[in-house]
Amino acid sequence: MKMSNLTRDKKGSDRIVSVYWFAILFIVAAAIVYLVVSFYGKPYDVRGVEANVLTSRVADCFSKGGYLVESSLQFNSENFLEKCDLIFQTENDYDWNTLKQYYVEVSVTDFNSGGEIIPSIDVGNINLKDSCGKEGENLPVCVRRSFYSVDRENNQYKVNIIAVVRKTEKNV
Amino acid sequence: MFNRRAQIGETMTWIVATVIIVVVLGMTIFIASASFGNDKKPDIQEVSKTDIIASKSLFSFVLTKDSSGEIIYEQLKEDKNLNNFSGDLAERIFNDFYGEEYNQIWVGSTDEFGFGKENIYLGKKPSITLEGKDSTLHIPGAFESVNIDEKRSTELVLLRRIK
Repeated sequence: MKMSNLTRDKKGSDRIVSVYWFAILFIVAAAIVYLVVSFYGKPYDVRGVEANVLTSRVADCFSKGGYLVESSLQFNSENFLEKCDLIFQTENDYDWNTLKQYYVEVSVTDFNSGGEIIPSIDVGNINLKDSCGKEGENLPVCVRRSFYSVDRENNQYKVNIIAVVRKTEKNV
Repeated sequence: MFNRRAQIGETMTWIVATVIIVVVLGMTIFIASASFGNDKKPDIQEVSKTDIIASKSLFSFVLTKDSSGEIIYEQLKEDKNLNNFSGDLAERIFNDFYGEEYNQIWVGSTDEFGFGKENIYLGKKPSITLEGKDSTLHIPGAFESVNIDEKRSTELVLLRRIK
């Protein structure tokens, strides 16, 4: 009789313990899933890299071998993309082709006087420029860079480039 | 009576164990999400050792002619350091254009041993690495050089603020 009671109690205790075992198993599994999802579920925000690459491509178009490309002084907003071999087309997800995802503005000024050499070139979605100087994860990424250049007649220039990339839906 | 006590004891152990496990997991999740989850913004300027835009400025700088028609490259070859014209120009270009992005900016000539020569315009060449007690701390930044002759060069060193 005594032996029988002991056996029954042991079984009951094992059942309670196994419930905790399962609970802990689920808690640990849920925590691992949460960690993996929270890290890998968030996309890499490569808009800053893209805007920097775009800036470099634009700079290459204006300056080669240390000298300002002579034909660059003939660039305007209409022929800029074609002359610099740039295509602002994107995949048509989230209606991106209607609302353009890029904006580029280039101005060439005299290095000493600051006077405008060519009219400012602007291509793409001009509304994106509003985000420049503002901070926020959901805002388009804006990169402003300037570089110094000379032509073969020793005229000195300052080339200012603004490149903005939106693509918020796939990067944030 | 004894058996029930044993059962309560074991249950209490598991309740406490569960609480500890949940707390440890919660801490792990908090630390992991605070440390790794938010920083998914690769910065090309943080990892790259070159700054294409600033390099363009350096190449144009050495090709600029002074009032006598001599380009800065030739002047650096002869004088082995910046003079008034090249020093002023370097200061205007590199401090004005890149002063906000970079903490330390230096342009100048190096001697035949590769050591940067101090100049009155942009000072001493900063060391690119800081020697620590146990390790070397690398400061993010960019570097570009133009060879003056076989041994000497003109260098541009841009060091970024450590975040």
